[in-house]
Amino acid sequence: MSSIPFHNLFVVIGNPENRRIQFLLKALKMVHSPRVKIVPWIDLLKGRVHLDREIGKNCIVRIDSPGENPLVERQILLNGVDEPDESDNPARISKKQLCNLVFEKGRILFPRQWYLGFRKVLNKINRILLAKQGIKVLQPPKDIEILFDKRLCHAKCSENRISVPKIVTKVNSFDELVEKLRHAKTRRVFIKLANGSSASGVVAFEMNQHRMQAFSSVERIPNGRETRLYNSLKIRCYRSIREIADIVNILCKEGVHIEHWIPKSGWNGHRCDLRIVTVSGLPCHGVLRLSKSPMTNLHLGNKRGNLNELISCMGLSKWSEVKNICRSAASVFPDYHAIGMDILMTPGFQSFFVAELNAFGDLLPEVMFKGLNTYETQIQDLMNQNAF
Amino acid sequence: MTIDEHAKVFADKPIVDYNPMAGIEDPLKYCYKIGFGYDAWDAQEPLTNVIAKFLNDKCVIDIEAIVIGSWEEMGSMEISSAPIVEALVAAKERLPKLNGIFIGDVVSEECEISWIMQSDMSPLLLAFPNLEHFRVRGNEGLSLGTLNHTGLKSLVIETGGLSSQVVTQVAAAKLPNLEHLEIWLGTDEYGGDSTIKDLEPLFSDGLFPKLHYLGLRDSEYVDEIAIEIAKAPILKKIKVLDLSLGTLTDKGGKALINCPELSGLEKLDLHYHYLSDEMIDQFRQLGINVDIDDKQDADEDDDYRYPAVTE
Repeated sequence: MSSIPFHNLFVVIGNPENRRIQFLLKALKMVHSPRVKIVPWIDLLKGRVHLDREIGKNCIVRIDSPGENPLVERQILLNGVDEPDESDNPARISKKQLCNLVFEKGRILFPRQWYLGFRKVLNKINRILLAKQGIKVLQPPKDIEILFDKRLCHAKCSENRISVPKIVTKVNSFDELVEKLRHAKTRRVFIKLANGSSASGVVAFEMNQHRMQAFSSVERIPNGRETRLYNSLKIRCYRSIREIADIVNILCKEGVHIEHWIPKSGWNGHRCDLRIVTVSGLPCHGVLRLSKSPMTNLHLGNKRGNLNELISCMGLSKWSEVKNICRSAASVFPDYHAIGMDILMTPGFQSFFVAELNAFGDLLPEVMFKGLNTYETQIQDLMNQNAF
Repeated sequence: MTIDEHAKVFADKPIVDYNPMAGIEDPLKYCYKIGFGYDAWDAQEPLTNVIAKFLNDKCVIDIEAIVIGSWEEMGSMEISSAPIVEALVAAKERLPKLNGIFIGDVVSEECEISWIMQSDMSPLLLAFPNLEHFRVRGNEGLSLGTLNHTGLKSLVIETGGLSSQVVTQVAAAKLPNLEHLEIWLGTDEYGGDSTIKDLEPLFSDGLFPKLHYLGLRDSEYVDEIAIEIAKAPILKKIKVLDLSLGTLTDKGGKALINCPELSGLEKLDLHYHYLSDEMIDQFRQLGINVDIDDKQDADEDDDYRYPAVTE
C-alpha cells in the first residue's frame, strides 16, 4: 500500500445519536489523539452547516448511514420533491404532505423519492469533495449512489462478471410480472424495492398454474383510499391473489428489482446465508444468518449460526470460493473502504452468488475478526495505511 | 421449521448424487440420488431420461437404494412422480437387490412440500416385494393403494398435511414385518384432513406385530393422539414413540406423564412442542430417555400454534 499523507482530521457525516457513530468514536480511540468532527445529516440537509468549510486539506472523510432518524428521512424526502426521475417511477409525496406528515414506525415511505433526494445531497457532497486537496474519502458518493439502487448495483456487478442471480426486468405491475414469469417459466422470484434497504419491501413470490403465494415482512394496512405498506418484524405468508397484487403494485410504483429466487442452503433446520464485511477489498467479518423463512435478515428475529462449524463442514476449498467471490465483488468498488455483502449459498454449498452489496453494511455488533469489531478493523486498516 | 437439508443417509447407506458422466461407481457402499437439484426448472430433459441412463449402467444390478430428488418443473404442480414410478417398475428386473426407495428428497427452498406432486405408489410396492425401506415426501396426489407387503420394515411419509385417505390406507395395511412407521400428519390447511378416528387401528397392538418405532409427527391434533395413545395397547409393544413437530400442549403432556407404560419405552421424542416449563421439568424427572427440546412460544397476538412443517 502506498503511503498516504498524514491526515489531521476525521470528518464523519452521519446521525450523531445513532449507535453506528458511537461504535465509530470508540474505535477511533485506538488512534493516538485523533481529531474527529461529526457533521450531522440534518444540519447538512437544512443548510445549517457548510460542508465546504468543515472539510479542510488532508481530512479523512467518512459518510455513514442517514437512517433510523425520522427528521432526516423527512428532510431527504423534501430534498427529492422536485427531482427528475429517469426511471419514471410514479410514487410521490408532495411538500405539503411532507410538512403534515405524522411519523409512523416502519412505514415504507416513498423510497424512490427518498433515493432521489439522497442522490441530490450525495452529488452536492461529491462536488465539494472533488474540489478538496489531499483528502481521503472512505465512501465515494458516486459509489453510494450505485449501492443504494439495486438495479444499478446488479448491473455493475454483472458487467464485472460477478455471480449474481438472474433478473426479471421492466416490470411495472403485478399483471406484468405474472405474464413475464409465465412466459419465461420462472416460478419463484424475490421482489425487492430498487431503493429499499435490509428487507424493506421484500417479497418472496412463487407461482404455478394452480397456486401462488408470497412471503414478506410487509404488512398491508388499508387507509382510506390508499393501502399503506409497513415493514414489520414478522414474516407473513400471503395466499390471496388480491393481497399479493396490491402489495406488488404498490412496490412497482416505487421501482422494483426482481431476481430469480435461488434456493438457499440448509443448516440445522434453517435456511442460511452469509453476511461478510470486506475492508479494503479483503473479506474480514462474517456472520452465518439462519432463518425459518425465505428472509434471512438478522433484525427479523433470525438467528446467527456457528460460522466456524459451517467452514469445517463445507471445507476450505469451498470457503476459498466464498472469499474469492467477496474479493471480486469488493473490487467492483475499489475505492470504497468497507462493504457489507450478502452471499447466497445453494443447497449443499454447491454454488455461490452475491445477493446484495450494502453501502453501510458494517453494523455487525459483536462480530469479531482477529479480535476487532468491524469499526475497529476499519480504523486499524487506516492506521496500517499510515493514514493518521 | 421447514425441510432445509437433503438427506445424507438412507437405508443405512450414505447418499451421493448420481452423475451420469461418472456412472455408478460403488453401488454397494452408496445410495444414489437422482434429481435435478435447484435448477430443476431449467432442466432440458425429463428426469426419466437420467433414470434411464442410471438403469442402463452395468453396475445398476447391485444397487440397493435409490433416492429421487427434484424432477423437471418441480413446483409447477404439472408433473407428478408417476413417470418415475413407471420407469422404476418397468426396470424391476434390473434392480434385483433394491431394498430402499425414497421419492421426494426435495427441500423447501427448492419447492414447497405442499406443491410436490406425488402419485399412486402401489405399482412400485407391488413390483418390489423385497423392498424394506420406503420413504416419500409430499401429500398431493399420493396414494399407497391396498397396502399388503411382506418385505417392508420401514415406512416414512413426510407431508405438511396428510390426507385421511392415505392414513386409512396405512391403518388398513398388512405389513407383517414393519418395524418403523412414521407419518407426518400436518394441518388441515394443507390437506391434512385426517382425524383421531382414522388413527384408531394404529393404537391396537395387533396391527403391525413387529413394530418398534411409531411416529405420529407434525400433527395439529397431537394432544388428542397423546390422550388416546396413553391408554392404548400399542404402547406396551413399541419401544420408541415419536410425537415431535406437532402442537403438543400440557393437555396432551399430562396424559403422557400419567401413563405407566412410558417407563417401558427406550425413547420418547417430543421435540418441537408447546409444553409449559413445568411440564418440561416433569418429563425430565421421569427417568426415561425423552427429547423435549425446541419449545415453541405460542404466537403472542392470537395464541395460534402450528406444527413444524406445513407449507
